Amino acid sequence: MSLSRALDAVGASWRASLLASTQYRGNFVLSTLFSALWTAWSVLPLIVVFDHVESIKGWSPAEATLVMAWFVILRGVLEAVVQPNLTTLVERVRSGTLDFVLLKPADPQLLVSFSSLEPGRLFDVPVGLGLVVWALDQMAYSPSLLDMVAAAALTVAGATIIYALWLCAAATSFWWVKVDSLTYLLGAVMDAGRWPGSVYRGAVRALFTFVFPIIVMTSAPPRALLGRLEALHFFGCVALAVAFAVGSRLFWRRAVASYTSASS
Amino acid sequence: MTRALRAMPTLFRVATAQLSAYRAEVLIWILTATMPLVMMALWDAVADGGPVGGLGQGDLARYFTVTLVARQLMSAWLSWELNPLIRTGGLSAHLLRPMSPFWYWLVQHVSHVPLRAVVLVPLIAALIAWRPEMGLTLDPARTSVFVLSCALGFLLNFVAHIFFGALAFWTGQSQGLFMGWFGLWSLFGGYLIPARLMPPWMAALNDALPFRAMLSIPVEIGASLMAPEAWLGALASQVAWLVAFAGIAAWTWRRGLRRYEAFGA
Repeated sequence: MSLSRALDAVGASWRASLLASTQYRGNFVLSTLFSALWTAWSVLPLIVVFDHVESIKGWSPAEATLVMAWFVILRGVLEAVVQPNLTTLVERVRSGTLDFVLLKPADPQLLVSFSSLEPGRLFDVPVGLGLVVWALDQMAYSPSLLDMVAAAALTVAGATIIYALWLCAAATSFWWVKVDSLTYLLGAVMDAGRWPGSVYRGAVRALFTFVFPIIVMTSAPPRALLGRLEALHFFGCVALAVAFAVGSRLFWRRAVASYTSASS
Repeated sequence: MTRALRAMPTLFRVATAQLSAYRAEVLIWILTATMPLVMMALWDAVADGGPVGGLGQGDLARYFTVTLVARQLMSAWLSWELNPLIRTGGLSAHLLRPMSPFWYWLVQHVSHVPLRAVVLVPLIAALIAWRPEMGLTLDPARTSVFVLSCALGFLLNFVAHIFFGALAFWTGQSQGLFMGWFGLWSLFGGYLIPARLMPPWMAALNDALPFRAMLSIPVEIGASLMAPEAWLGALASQVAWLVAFAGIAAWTWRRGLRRYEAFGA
């Protein structure tokens, strides 16, 4: 009952943000258009790189494109669904209007996390899927159903990890107040997910696998799709996502508990 | 102009006070410009099997280290501030001051440079420790030409921001357009791909575009990838672009301001 009511509330606010973002039509059309161009530009460095070499650390052009495709998809989800909400959360904590959210009869984490939407950025998702289809066509490879399911599951796992990291970053605003730039910093670190994980070495690689698991987000799904990910690694990635989700939930609760509201 | 000069000490005091009030936030913003490190990792892996286009791993590490520095020294964000000011009418308060508002914003930008330099030093020390073969040296002649070229590049960026900010007089929001410009800048300016490694079609387009003057020229000078004989010509092209940009931006700003006043703010 309360979950379906919360989902209704989420749907209503998504409709409202769709209207809000189409209000400045010129900017909306342009930013959607540029987000498509932006994706094309993400691929260009790869094209230039493969002008000079045949493969990067064993990844062929098509395989590296798959990694880029997952980066594009996850960045689209991040910028359309996650980032706008958590930016709003930081603003609400600062201005004290979070009180109104906490008073509502639904889970505040759900309301805070999924109330606004930047629909223009969702365009990245079909663009990324297009890249996947192109890359598979280049390799003349058709993945089995099981591999596709595994890749989809890892995509959900990756999106979960992103959400968890951003939630924790935004939740620090309960203590430090002005931290919206922190989420942009995470976005900058996420840029590392453009390339196959084997580009990184030593400590940096460990960092991108366990602490900020960008390799799990963008390199594991392509490997699953190509049937090259061992079952153990697959379950390791899923377990990591679950750990991030649970950890962020606990962190969120502690953060809300220390919220001092506008009046106090 | 003399008025602005007299106001300079106060403007700097205000800017420094703001900087210290939001120091954590500014620090984080500085750290978001990590793209050169990400590109360095990619190109380092690419050149693992031998030099690409005449550039070895050491050269590429040096190129992207200097890119990181140049980007910090030349960064501008004015259009992001102008957009809400124009939309909400907050710009009026700036226009009331008895001097051009751009002096205020220019000082705001310049006052960030010392903090950026402090953040950069340990980062660069770590990069040099990681790739000692990059051979980054502080030759006085090259360093001073590099700083001069960065100053010109910064002014180009700043003026471009005035232009894109002024577009908000017509569209209400112009960040979308600016992001398109930023994408072109990052591709053609050498932020992602060193100019020397660009395919012929990109290099040919680049000769007609301003982006090299905005990033690649100072980086090539600083990373010793440009012969000293070419420095003067490169600086001259930066000045030429700056004059052209300033003309366009000033014209757009004045036209826009007339529109802004027309709706009664």
